[in-house]
Amino acid sequence: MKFNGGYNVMLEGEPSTGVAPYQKPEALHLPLYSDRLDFSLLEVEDGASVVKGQVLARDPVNFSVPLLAPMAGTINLKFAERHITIEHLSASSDSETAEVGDVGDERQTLLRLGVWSSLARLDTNRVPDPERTPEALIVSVFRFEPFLPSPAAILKDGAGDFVSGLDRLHKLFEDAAVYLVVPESDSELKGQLAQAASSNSWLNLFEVPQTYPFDHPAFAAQMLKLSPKRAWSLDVQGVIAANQALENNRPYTKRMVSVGGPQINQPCHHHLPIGYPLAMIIDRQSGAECRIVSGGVLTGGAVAPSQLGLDIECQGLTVLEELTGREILAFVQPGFTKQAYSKTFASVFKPLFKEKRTTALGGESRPCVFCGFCEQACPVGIIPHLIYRYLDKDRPEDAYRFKFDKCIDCGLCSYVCVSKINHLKLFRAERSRAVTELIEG
Amino acid sequence: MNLKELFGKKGAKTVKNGIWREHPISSATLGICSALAISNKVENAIAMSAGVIFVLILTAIIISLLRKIIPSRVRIIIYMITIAAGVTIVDLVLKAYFPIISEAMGPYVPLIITNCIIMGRAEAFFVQNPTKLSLLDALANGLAYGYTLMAIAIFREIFAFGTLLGVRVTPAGWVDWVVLAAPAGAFFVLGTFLWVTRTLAGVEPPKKS
Amino acid sequence: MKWLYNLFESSKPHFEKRGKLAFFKPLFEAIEFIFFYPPARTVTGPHVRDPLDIKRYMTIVIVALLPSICASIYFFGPRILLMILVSYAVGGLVEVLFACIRKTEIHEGFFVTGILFPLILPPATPLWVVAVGVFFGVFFGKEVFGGTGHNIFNPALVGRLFVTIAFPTILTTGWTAPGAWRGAADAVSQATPMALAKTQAVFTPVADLLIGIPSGSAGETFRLGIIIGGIFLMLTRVSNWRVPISYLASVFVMAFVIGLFGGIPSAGESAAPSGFAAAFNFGLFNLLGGSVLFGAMFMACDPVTSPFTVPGKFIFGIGCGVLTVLIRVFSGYVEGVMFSIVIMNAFTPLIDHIVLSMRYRGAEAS
Repeated sequence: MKFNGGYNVMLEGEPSTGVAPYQKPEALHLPLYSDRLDFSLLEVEDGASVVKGQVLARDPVNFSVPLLAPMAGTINLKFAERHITIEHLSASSDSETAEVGDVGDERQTLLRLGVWSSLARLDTNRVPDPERTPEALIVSVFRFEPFLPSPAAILKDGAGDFVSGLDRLHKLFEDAAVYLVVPESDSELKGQLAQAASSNSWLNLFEVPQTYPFDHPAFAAQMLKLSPKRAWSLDVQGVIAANQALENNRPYTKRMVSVGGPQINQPCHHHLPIGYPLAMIIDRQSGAECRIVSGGVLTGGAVAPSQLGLDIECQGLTVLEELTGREILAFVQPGFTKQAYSKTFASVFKPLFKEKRTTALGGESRPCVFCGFCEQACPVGIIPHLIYRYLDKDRPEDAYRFKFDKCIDCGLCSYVCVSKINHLKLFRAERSRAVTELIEG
Repeated sequence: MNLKELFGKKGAKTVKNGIWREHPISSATLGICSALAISNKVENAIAMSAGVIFVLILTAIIISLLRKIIPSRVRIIIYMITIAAGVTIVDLVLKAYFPIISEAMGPYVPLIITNCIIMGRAEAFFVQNPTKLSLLDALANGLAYGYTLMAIAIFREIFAFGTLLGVRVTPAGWVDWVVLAAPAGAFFVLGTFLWVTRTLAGVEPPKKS
Repeated sequence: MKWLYNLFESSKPHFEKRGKLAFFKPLFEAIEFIFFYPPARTVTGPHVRDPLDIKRYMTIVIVALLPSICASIYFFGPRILLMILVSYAVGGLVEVLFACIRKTEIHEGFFVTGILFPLILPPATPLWVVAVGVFFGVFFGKEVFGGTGHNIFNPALVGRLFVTIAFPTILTTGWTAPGAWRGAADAVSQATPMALAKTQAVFTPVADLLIGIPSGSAGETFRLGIIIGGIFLMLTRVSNWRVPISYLASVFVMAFVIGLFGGIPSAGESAAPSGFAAAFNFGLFNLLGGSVLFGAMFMACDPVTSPFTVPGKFIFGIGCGVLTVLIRVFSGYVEGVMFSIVIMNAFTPLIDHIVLSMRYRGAEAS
């Protein structure tokens, strides 16, 4: 995996493109929260039996997007806090589905079938208003952040479903342009997409180097000079789900999840219903203390130990070993097994190798020494240490003066920081403060 | 000896403030120009502080006595005249009885007139308070100025010339620290002095709004 | 190493909040973390971090300095080791004291300052001058500004500048001839190449300069080692190549231009040598003579005290180079590296400000 700034790191435990066989769970534990959503409005009662696709809860803040039952069964609200547990899952779950209410327009269909929540506004990363229409839709097909699901696993059955989903969305959003972010290097999948793009004028391929974080939709929007307020992003699975929702009226309750990391026995992809017990997916090598990261290891969040099942926005799970050992005289050792951004370890003399990373901070927190690594790694050409200093001193207006709004939260500045400063945390805090201000003001 | 018994409650506070809490040099950074220039030798520092204390007392007496009849519009001029008169006395006395010191101090004696401590105290204290308190304030501030100058001068003279009041105090083979004889070296000494006394007195640097 | 670990673990409680030695917690922590990798974990994303930390970052500078250190010990004897020891002891004391009073960690930047300082002194400098200089450099050059990362001037250069001004006689006569310590005579004093060139128009040959035959500051004579160390630093990206390269290039170009216009010093009544070849030689001599190489490779490129903007780095390097040659040719001093870097250090915030305001011109807030 290449990172911006001329850095190539291979982390151990990359998921293969194979899909693991599905094992039937005892019960589903649906968390009432996820990264962006909070399903605080319950629509079912304890002990009620539900059918597949029935609304369990809604998020009142985000346009009442629903949490749908992936399988039929009996509700248990007391099993775990902030979870809906579905027990006694019925075997013939696929045959019966929730009754279709009044069939509204297509946007309402997407909203009703749980697809809408996979859309995101590029400026705020929030669920967009269904009343509004974007100018452009950006789909990042190939993800370079370790370890997000590979499009080769998701689009195993061919890109047909995907392209027809894009077509439907394009028509739904009143002829919005659709941009696919793809790497420069050639592959079979890219060839199929290029073919589709050549026959549809509204479909455009945006080629980026195969380097993190150039796959980020916000980066593409900046390069294409699209207004981030009027550009929405969507992942590959969302497009397929939209196609199936509009064509077959199928609810979006099953998703492809990558499971990887140095602690996983067989890193691969899984196709699982929401709420699938995490304990059943994570097949660990040892009993060492671990951290489960949901999403990429750079930008993802740690999964709380209280979370029992797959949440609705989870893309991939990475299991990292927590740092426990204390290496002796680590800073003078040549470090054959460590690759650093600055080529200061003896590993530069080795050919590319797979590296095992833990959650080690890698040193002690120190004041910034202006080494400039963050600036070299930054994909959008801003100066992270300068912006950090302004935000740290509570002067956001100065941070915006130095183009803080271009930041795409890729986390590379924090990754390479010699002084172990967490820019990403402060940048995200400032962004969420600004978004709250925007909504309230 | 208790300050309160000696000067009364108000007087004790005035003395304490002048000598330590509102130290003219370290807390208000007044009069540092002469403190930097004249503190290279202890004898100069003594002459300078004596001169400043004298002018301060003279100003305190005159201004506080006249405080009710000085029109506020021309008060600065009145201060100036008073201070200038005092400075002239000091200058002439030095020239007459201590010509060597007078020469060493050069233009800095006449420049006492611009010493912000005197002007500052006149405006801030003497013109608002009775003579007795003003006198105490003048003494306290003069003393603060004096001991600061002395402390810096002792340090600088020992290191820069190896002497104290002209008497050699350093062992043989001592190498003079030339930089401390120059006003630039005084900056470091004064800066450290300000830092230490401010920390001890708990003076906070002014915060940007 | 289990016993060492147990020793640290068992003595840790004494340094905790209510322990007897709580005041010395920074010192204890620093020593513990030198021996054992700090146990800190990431809390939020990014969950994995680059393994490079500030300790290794600073150690790399010392590694790059190793050729110079070894050469200086070979040329000037074991007293260089004593000088380094004194420098580390006194400077370390200041650093530890400040960390303990401020209750912060002990910062690693001192490892570099402590070794750079003795290397830029004349080899015969008395040890107490080393102590005074490093005390002053660390105290006024770094700690009063708030410690590593907040200083305006290079601490080692501040210390050098202070002792130069405070003890001019000592600092201008301590030039021992390399290798003299092994001879029977006491330290033999020898004029530096820069002084020879300025006063007697004697230019030391380039080959001699490279392998360190002429006298000079402790660490600057073996120039081949400096070049190797400097390139190593640039390759590891610990120093940014822009500053040293622009510094060295501008020294050469500036000296070359001055040489073309007859600025080469000449002996006695004879006319100043002129012509292309003479100017080229003068440029090369200025590039290799004196402490330009050492200053460019190890002092000017200090990231804290040089601009962080890319154009700013070039401006800084060129400014240093031009000032160095100007001071050498037109002032009373024979060497201008130290002054030029300190002067440009003072301009660093201004350079950054100008570069940033030009880069973000349209976005200037009202």
